[in-house]
Amino acid sequence: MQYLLLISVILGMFQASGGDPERSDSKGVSGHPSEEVMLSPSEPEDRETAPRDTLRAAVVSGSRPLGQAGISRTEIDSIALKENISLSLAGLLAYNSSVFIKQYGRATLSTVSLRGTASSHTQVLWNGMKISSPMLGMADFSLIPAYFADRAEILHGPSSLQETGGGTGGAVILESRLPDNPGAEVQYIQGLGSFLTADEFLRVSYKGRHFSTSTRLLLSTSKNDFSFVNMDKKEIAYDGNMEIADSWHPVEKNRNGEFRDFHVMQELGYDFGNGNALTFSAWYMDSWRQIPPVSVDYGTTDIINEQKESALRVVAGWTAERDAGKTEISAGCSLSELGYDNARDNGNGDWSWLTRAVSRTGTFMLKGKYSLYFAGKWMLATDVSAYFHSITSEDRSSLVPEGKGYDVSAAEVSAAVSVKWQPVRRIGLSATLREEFFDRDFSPPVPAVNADFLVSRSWQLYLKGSASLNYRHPSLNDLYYVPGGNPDLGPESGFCYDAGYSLSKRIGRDMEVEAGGYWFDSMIDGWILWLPEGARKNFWTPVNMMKVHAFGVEQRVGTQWRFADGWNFRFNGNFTWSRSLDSSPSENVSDSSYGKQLPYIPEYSGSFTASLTWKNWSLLWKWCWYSTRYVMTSNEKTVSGSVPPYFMNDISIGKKLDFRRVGLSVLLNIDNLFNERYVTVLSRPMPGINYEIYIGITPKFKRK
Amino acid sequence: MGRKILFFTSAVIFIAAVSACTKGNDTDTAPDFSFVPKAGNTLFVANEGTWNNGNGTLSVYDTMTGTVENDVFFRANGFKLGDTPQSMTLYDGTLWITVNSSNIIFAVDPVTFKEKGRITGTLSPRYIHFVSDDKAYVTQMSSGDILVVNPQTYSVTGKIETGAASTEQMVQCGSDVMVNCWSSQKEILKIDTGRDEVTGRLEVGIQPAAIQLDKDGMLWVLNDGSNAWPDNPAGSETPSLKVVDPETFTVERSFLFDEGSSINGVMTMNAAKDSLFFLNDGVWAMSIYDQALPAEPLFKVDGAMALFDMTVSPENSEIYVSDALDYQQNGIVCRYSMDGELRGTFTAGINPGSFCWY
Repeated sequence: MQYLLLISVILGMFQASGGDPERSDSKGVSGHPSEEVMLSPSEPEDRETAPRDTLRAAVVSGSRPLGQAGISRTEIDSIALKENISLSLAGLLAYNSSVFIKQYGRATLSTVSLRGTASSHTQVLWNGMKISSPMLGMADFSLIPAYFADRAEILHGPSSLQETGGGTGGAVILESRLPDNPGAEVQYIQGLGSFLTADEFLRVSYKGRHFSTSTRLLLSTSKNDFSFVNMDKKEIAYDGNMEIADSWHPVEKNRNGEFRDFHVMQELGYDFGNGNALTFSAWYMDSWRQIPPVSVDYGTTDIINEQKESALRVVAGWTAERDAGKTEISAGCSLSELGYDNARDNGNGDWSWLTRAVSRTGTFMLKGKYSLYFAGKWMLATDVSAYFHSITSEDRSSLVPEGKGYDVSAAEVSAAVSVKWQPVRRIGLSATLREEFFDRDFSPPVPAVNADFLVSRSWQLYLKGSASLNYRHPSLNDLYYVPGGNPDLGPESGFCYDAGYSLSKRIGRDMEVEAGGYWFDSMIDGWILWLPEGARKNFWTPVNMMKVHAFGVEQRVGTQWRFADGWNFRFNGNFTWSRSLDSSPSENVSDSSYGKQLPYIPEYSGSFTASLTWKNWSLLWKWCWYSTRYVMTSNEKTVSGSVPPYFMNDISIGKKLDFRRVGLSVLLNIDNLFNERYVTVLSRPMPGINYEIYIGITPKFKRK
Repeated sequence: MGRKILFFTSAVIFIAAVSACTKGNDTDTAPDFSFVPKAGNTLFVANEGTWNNGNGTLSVYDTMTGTVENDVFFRANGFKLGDTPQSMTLYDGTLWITVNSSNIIFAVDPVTFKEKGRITGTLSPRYIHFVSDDKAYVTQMSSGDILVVNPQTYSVTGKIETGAASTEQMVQCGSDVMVNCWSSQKEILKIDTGRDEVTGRLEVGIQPAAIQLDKDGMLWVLNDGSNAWPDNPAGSETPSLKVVDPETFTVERSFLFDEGSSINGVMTMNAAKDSLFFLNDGVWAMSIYDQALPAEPLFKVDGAMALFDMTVSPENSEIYVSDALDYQQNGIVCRYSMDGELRGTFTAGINPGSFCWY
């Protein structure tokens, strides 16, 4: 009840404030005109009077350029990126898309699941370069700050082949961009919050006639020692006869959960003004994170359980646009070192080391893309990318002080050609053929077809569909990890298709609605599973074991409504029904996994963000919900076999203050508003209600 | 304008009310078991769960009625057993469960499944062996030190520094306790229970995984040989069975398995201690007086996906074999006669990895 009171108070603050009809800053971070705008077949008459740019990027696109024919994509609202600087990309996607985030705790490993697939089936590209670990085959989204992304887009299922192979579930495309506004800009934000959390954000940028630069820094630290009632344990008290006299669920602190993340990004750009541009992006990250033990750990001695990761990612590119043709050439590298230490104090000052693992990865990339519009109705797009990975991995422990590991190099080449055709104004067709080489093996040619049909111009209603084959090569750990790596492992192969719609409509002068929905279906063969192998379950090894049938429905809606002078309401909602079924019949009648949902993939999930702005005030509500996630392949709904469903509510209230020389902003974030007791992974407690306040300073410089 | 504000206020409060109604599972539940365990016809099964998920469980099976009750520890106590229960030992009417990754040993009433006490301060406990009513040894995976505990006060009273990286199973040989050192090791240790000291160490082969004492007082050692991991720092060799004379502390006899054998480190004996049983892609048996390994298994387990553990009933010598299936669902336990006739199956928990008779 106290929460309802809190809501009322917050609303009361809004209602008590007066205001002029000006809307608050609703312009997106990115001011780049998208292809969508340039090629839109019909422009609304009153575009200049409406804050269209705030919504059009929010949900499934309404009008589409030829290059996007039949593509299923979700572009994360640029405002959402701006409003959620404190979040990692994992948190951002959880509230703004249909993906499922599997999170091992606050500021710990977070992986993404798209369309009922595993985290390894989602490819992640930053400024055109893959940043999924070639060693692990996946990316940790908790280590990607939303503050460093100016554009985020999800390509669902078959549509991911437009950018890369291996994304059976899809691909997450991230871009950082140079400033839009001419002149110099400085932004500094300081955040202080619960559990001794401190966040610092700084961006210094300059945009001249030709030259642009941007520097971003982020430092995030937290003791992260939140309290929780441990329902998985009981403490006991003995009486004088050493019999249990009392027992209770203890209130515990999150132990060994401290973290410190530092990110710095430097971008440079030079626009020649004749269609040629050079860009350079460098992102350095240094992260130290303790990993809390599971909730059923009764260990009393000190522990070391921590992950250290440092990475430098660099991408340099040249873009040339000539008439209807566009050429992009880029080169990049990613150098990273990942360390994991796990030890326990024996109680006498000596440490028993379970693991002292370190891996060093070097990835070098060359990439070229070319696209050409011709004959008015045709577009040709090609891309070639080549990666070279070099990995050294070593793992020492008290049991194996000599260490074990591997040292391998692997090349990865991907090439695609795509032809898009608009035979009549209402129809867009696209065919893509991609070929990949990884380590020692070529994949078979991977075709994809996409199509859409404009049903209604006034509603911008499109029917869309796509289909493709897809392959995912094993990660280098799958192939070479010691012990257990399986060099004979084959790729996963699959067929997937989707069909759906998208629409967008302006209703009157004050309201816009957009929506999109898809049916998706994919069959993946040779799904890689790690299973115990060797004597006494000594270690695990990967095998091409399973066939998986994933299908379901994604639905998104969005609206923006300026319902009164100065008031602006925005809403983006997502709902997903996702079945991901083990389709490998077993000869053992006791095997109950056939036809059951895969572990840790929710059948139902939903999320929305709703914001209300008035004058310089803003209120943002983020909500998400996940149905039961099973831990067991047999889908037991027991306390040990499943993770209960939960709702999550975060809210933030902000106020901007505009002075002559400086702009100030104050933002209060309240996460887990209703103090839910929840986990996303079994035995990994999450924090209850917590707060963080941000103060932002933006000096104003005189512009020429 | 006022109506619109009212609309938003109502919507917000409605969603808040709905959201505030959802809570996670409260775990306190009243136990409702279908039978009361009786000595002589009760089999306990410790299910490891999936490592690092904290979902290990305890099952209990009535051999007379064929009835099973799962997750009895949680149901009786209102909290979880923990992460990777490794072994169980029944001593003086109390069931002791070592929970490896939870670093705890629970003392449990075998009839009510209620906790009687607990021993903490351990590092990945593997097995508990009772030397006397007030002294027991605890082997550990994360430390080579063997803990000395007082089970009556549930306290750690000392430790034995072994010089090994980890220690495993224990058997009593007179006043000595024999201990095998498994993971990436080669030795068995002799411990003087009077002085709580290591008094002997013997190399028996690569990765001695299990030990058993026969009726004549000879120690049987099963070496898995790490044959599936050739790069093991301890080396790799063909799995073997060694017979050690505890008196002379020397290897008396050796049996070499076929190369590529699927020895998974499980070995047990019948109540008479004159027959040996082990898993090797089926159930194998041999007399302690045999001069060679058997040429054929006692029987195959039809359709088995992942043979995990085995025990032999002390009452009627029926053989119980667990199958972990895909390691991520409740495993099954198959009950066989000595000649391989399937007499029943029951579903236990995830990865049924340890048995204990009551």
